[in-house]
Amino acid sequence: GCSGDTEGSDGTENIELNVASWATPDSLSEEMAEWWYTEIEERTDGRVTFNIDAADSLCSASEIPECVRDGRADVGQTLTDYSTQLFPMASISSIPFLSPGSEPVAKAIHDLSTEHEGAAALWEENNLHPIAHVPPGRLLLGGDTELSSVDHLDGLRLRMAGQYAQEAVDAAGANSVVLTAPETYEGIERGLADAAGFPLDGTVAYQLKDILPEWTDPGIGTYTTIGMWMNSDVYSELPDDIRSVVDEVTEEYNSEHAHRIFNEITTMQCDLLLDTIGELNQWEDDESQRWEDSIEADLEERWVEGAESDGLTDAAGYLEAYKSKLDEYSGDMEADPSLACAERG
Amino acid sequence: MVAKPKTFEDILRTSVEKMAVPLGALSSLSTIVMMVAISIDVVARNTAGEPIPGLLELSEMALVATVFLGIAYAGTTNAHVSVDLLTSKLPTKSRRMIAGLMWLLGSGMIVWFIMSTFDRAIQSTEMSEVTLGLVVWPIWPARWLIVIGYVAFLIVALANAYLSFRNEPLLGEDEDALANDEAQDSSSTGQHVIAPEVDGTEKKS
Amino acid sequence: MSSGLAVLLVAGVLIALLLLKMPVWLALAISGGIGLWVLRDEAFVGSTLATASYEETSTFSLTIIPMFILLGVFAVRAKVAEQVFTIARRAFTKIPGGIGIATVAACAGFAAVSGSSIGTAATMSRLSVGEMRKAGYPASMAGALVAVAGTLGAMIPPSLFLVLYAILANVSIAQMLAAGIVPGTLSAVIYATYILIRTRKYSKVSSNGSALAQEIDVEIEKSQGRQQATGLPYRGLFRLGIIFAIIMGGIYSGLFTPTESAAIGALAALVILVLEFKTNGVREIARQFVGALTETAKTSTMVFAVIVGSSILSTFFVVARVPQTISNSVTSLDIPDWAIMALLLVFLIPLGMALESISILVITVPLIYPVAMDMGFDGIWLGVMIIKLIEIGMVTPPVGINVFVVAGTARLPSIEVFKGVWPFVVLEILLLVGFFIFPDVVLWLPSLVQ
Ligand code: NA
Ligand code: NA
Repeated sequence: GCSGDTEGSDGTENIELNVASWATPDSLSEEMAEWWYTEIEERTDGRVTFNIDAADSLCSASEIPECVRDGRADVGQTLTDYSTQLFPMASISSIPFLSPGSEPVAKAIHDLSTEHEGAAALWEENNLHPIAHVPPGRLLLGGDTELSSVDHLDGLRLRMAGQYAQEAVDAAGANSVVLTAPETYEGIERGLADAAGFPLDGTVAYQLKDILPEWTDPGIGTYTTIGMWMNSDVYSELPDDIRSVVDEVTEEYNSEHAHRIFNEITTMQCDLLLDTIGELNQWEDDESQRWEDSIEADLEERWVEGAESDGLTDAAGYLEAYKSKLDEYSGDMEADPSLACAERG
Repeated sequence: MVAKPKTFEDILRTSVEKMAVPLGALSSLSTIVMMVAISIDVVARNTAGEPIPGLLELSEMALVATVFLGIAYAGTTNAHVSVDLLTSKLPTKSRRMIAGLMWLLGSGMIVWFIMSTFDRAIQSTEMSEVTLGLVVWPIWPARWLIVIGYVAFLIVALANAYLSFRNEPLLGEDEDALANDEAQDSSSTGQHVIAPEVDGTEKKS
Repeated sequence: MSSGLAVLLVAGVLIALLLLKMPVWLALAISGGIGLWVLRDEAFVGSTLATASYEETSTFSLTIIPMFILLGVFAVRAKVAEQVFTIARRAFTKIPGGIGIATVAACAGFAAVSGSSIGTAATMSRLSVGEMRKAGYPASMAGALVAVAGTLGAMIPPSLFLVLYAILANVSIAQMLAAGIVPGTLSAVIYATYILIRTRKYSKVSSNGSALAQEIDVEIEKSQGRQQATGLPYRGLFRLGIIFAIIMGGIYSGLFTPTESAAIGALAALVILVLEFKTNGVREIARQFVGALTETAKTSTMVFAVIVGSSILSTFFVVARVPQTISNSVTSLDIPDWAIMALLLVFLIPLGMALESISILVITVPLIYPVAMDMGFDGIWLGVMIIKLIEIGMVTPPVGINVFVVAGTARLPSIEVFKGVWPFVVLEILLLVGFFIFPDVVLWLPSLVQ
């Protein structure tokens, strides 16, 4: 539970929440979450404070959901890819060619966490109160040579990301090379892999733009989300007024600020990328379609089966609802910053 | 040791070793599984152009098996490193009393390890915890290997505590001198008798 | 209980348990566990115990440790080490430090293929400590040399350590990798120089030493009768060269990763073991093979138990916010910038004693880097300093993981190894002072990389 409950000078309770985060300083994840922490601290007049441990120190990135569930941390933030069976509701975003961009995906998952009964029940059962699930961006491909069609991928040794990425890699005739994000730089440098899949954020954070000169958006869309949760017990035991501040900030975060910050940072990273490599390319629609069509497995069906076995009741209904939410939100919003970047360069 | 009637302590030693040695053998087997799996993966990637799904995950599990199936065996051969600064200057009897207390305290800690890893193994099994790479790989078997390893080590720790309180050497402690000699004379031929401590004794492995 | 009091309690318990000969990994786990229990609760400790046990042993990159140990054990059983060091002894007949220098060179070579200090130390202690002792080196010096030279693994690229620092500090990875080369090589040269001076003084002082040298020559003469042509077992050197060539060639041509190289190297060493014993029959080969596996399993278990224990203690230091407290109190001191910087860096040594090294990097870089930037220090230079200091922490008491690994692997009393470490630590600190005064020593090579 909250470890630092102390009586404030005016008799009200002061709450210190421990945060386990995978975010390194100045990263996209940190900048986004920082808004949420600060707003809550300010709107509760400092009655709630956050004690944020350095990335990977209290709980490793893959262990963070577990740390939040068992109460070692009160709040956590990490990639949902690390423990997919807890997050079928978010891993839906890794189905290739389904999810266009960060904002519609984040909003859809946020809405469905309460609107879809199965999802709400599973969050509760996992003892996680969801705060936000924001994809780190559309998946880009970087290589030494131009990668503008499926044929260019044939035979390439490709470092990919995402739960269903293997299917897409296979379908394109490329070979998967398993490298963690920090290992990728040295792996590419030595020729272990020819190309890599990363969001725009990764091209800068892992300095891949410095060794891979050709970057392109192949139309796969998002491939995972950065999830943020609070321990359910901690959340429900918050004093009413504080809980309503948390809810209010969380709502504003999901409806506006997460995306505003995401867009700002991604646009900045776009500048850095374009400064280094000149332009970010984008696949023709037919070419993306050709890649999508070449994937033989029915990944939506596979997601439904997996999600059901992970405890999400009515997973098929979730998928349908997710798709219509994406349609709804994609219509009236500005282009995803990765696409905007490709338009610029 | 000369032939004399078997005491309870002798039987205890033998039984604990009988439990730990097969686990140690499995631990050894795991290191070779790791070597072969990683090598095959490298060869497959460079010839067929594709890694073999699951070998990476297999290697990770083999590492868990190497460590935790070997932990009791390392215990019976007194291979866990410790700092001998103060106790070496004490008379044997007091040294063994302290060793008994330490192993008793250590046993308590191991019980804590067992309880928490057991809970985690149950939880992992119930939710059929997996990792996702090129292949979906179950995590729960590795979690149970940890529990098995700690339980076996608890038996070693308790036996060590008992033996120490009975003023007997720890499991594997007699072998230390021999093992040390082998380390000096890392050639198994024993021909290069140079350093005074070396006597070329071959320790059976 | 306040964090400060908890830290004192934990330090007291740890030192008491170590002195009373509690196995090191249990001493680390118990003291860390008590600290977490005092600051949080039983549930927190339970989760930490379960997490540390699994996370520290189920990571692919850590397979490098048992694989390098296996490589070392195979190579020793195939008599490669003995043969190589016989040659080294001969080659350096006029220089008593020959074997020590050969060891440093081999550590630097391993460092150029592996990013793991612990892996390098474990392999080299199996390969060279026995040979050094045969040549008359005291246990303390032989063990300490390997423990210290093992730390080159993180400084000489490839090194995930350098890459992680670059990512955390947002400096150029390419420059950071280049920046490790000169300090790493310079450290190796300094260790070798020290060995040269120390062992020379040694043979002058002790007549026993020169008697030993004579004995070595007698041995070499004797072995000449058995060896072909020049009388020296050059096949050992050739075989070691093959193993290195396979590993180096594979890594630098992109055939496999540094992590995978350890398994390939072990496989190559196995082939050499089979060649060495092929005339002795299948049974002897099988006996050597099984013996090597058992030894590897035992050593690997010992090493990983210490890593698990250290990760538990490390979690305590994070929860007690020790790094933040130190950093805040140092930066608030009213002293010149360079002195603040020096103090911050010096505090990395005691932190390195308790925190496992990747954690300490992730925790301290965000604390120290902004301060250093404000003061106008160079980010690349800072990375070299931080990594060097963390590595010093890995060989200093009470908890120096490399020392425990060497002591456990070579079956030396850890206290002896710790004793032998001090002169090296002094040298390391002198080297760091040099880098502090002349940062260009570190920075000229990366400045060529753009
Ligand atoms: Na290295
Ligand atoms: Na240390």
